[in-house]
Amino acid sequence: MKVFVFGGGGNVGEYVLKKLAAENHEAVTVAEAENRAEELKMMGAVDVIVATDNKFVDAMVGCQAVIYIAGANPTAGENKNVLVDKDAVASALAEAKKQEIERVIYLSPARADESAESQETGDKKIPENLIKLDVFTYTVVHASRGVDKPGKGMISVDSSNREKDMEIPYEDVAAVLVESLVNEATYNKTFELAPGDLPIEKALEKL
Amino acid sequence: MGKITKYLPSAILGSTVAAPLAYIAYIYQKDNHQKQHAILRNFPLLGRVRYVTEHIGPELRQYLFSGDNEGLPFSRIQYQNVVKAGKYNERLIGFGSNRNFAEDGFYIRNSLFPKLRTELKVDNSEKVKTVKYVVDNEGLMSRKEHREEVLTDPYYLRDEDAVVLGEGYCRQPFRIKGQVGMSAMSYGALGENAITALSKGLGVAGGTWMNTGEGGISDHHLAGGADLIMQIGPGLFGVRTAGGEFSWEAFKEKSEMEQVKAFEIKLAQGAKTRGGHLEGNKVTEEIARIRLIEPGKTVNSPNRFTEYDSFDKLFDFIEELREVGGKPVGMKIVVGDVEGLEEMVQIMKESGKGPDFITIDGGEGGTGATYQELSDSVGLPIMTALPIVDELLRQYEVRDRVKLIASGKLITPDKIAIALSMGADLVNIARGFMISVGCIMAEVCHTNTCPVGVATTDPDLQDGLVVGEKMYRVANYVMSLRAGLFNIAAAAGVESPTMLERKHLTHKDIQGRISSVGSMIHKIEQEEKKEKDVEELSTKR
Repeated sequence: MKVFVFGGGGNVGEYVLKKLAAENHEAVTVAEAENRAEELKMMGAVDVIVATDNKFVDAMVGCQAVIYIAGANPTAGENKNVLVDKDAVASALAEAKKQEIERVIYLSPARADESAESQETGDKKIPENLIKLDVFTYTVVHASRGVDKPGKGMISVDSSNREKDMEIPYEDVAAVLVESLVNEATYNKTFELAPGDLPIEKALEKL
Repeated sequence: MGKITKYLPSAILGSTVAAPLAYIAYIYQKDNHQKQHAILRNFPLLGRVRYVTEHIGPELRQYLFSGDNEGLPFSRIQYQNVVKAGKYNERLIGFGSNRNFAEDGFYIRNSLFPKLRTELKVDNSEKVKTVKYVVDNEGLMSRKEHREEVLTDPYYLRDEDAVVLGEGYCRQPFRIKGQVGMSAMSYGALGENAITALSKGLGVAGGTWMNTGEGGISDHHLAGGADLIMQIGPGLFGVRTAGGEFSWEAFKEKSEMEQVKAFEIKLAQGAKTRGGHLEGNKVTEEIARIRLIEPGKTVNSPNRFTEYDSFDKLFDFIEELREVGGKPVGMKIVVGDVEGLEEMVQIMKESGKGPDFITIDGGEGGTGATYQELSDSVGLPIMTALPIVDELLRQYEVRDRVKLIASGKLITPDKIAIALSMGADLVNIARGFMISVGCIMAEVCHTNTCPVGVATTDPDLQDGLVVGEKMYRVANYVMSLRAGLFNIAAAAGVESPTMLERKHLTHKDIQGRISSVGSMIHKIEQEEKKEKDVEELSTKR
């Protein structure tokens, strides 16, 4: 499957590119500079668009899915009063719709370990509501605090993970996003992702 | 029974007072009558205080009395920087620099438009699994910290920026995706635990190399899968016949080892500039097997390859080594005789022969054991030696054939960046790596009594050095240095530390004036011309 990855250069994004390549998907992503684009290709992206603005005209041609890692790049948003650039998400969604892409996987910047109040701050939850209201087959993930530790491949998607202070390796978050692409149990679901005791595929089936 | 309880207290009391008194009286008598020390004859007992404090002086200075910037060869701060990079994989400091800015020194010319992180030509596509420490809480009397496995960015050079030794000149060139490696340290000088930790750590970090030192390739060097540069000294250890001649058979065998990537001939004994000496009791079965010498027998090695006394002969030897081994061959030198060096470069140009790389050991470089007179005043320091060699090679248009490896107290990214700007392609570190495996600068490397088990073969002392712990310090240290080099490159406005040049450097003198570091040789020639002019003028009169 050809997948357009927003935030492919971030902590989670790099692993998403690697996992997509490992599972024989084709990843297309965006980078801020030519040198960074080359590096992302080394990680497994088949195509990297160098862009400093949020205009991706025709960039998604031929893609069947979008993985959107929001907030992965804090410099992307122009309006610093919001913590996630909702206009960027909206224009990406519009472009995705134009290209008749049905599948959208969204890693929310609102983390699972945050309180409900904190999740709403800075309009962090608005973009995911846009996705849910639209025609897409969506999956929205609220993950625990990410860390750069080796992935364990063991997770939990229980709603009891809400507001628990737990850390999850970026590698595992990426694996969940990529697995969700084809795992029908995740279609049109929103879930809290935390480290746990089930292998990723098994855990997702419980949704 | 009654008697014992009656007299015991007074007996104990008596002996606790009487015994020390008797001992003091004995020492007093002994000091008073000995003929060795005047101070003890005049001030028996009291004079001993001098010897005790003199003995523990280095420790007192290091821990209590010296300022953070004092202390040689490395100040407290420099030492801590290395330790922290290894342990916490961290180079951040608070409040500001501790450098003495009044002194003269080199500075990186930072660009007003530095490169962004995303504009750097770095290869972090494969992260490295390592172990680091994280401090949870630090108080005056205790520090709570824990160890955790992390994935970190290795900061490799891109494939197209990789430094290649022997490209176009030998069958198997050595490609290196980093600019920092380990300087020559032999097994025997360092114990097996230290060498193993270094080999494993460098293996984990990748993009680096390990120079075996002239003591041959030990199993400990091989243990971690690090790329090796085998050093060949005048003692020919590891590549000699029973009679002490060079053994082509042994050399071929070594050159066929996958892990051995290049060879380095040690001229002028590197920083030692003296002949080697290995006491018979240190020549164990293992050392004898590695070095191809007789166990239990004292070995002396000369301070020059006895056979090779001219550049022609030496270069023919290098050609043959490259032909037989198929791998790059370099040589390690200490710069002092600039005319001699010019002759060498001239011959390189005329004959088309010569080394694939030249390792330049600065006079300030470390060594396990040498004489004070050689260590202090023989050989130029690296920031003088390196630009001279670089310029000579350019002047004779052979610079593109040779890679330069610099060494001499280059233990932090800024020092390394200065050397790279001065003309080095790669940098060797010895003592920085020793510190990363636990060296506390006790300065007893020559005695086999290293208190932290680094520079000793004593199994009891080595017990203190845990390989599984220190190997990650080595890996973190080298990766952190590479990260620091990219930081400096970005500040200087270039995409990669391989692009650092003289123009990125400036020298500030003690009065605050700055000068460029364009040409050393030009300066030497100008001085010579001035002298000549003065001479001519005076003879005319």
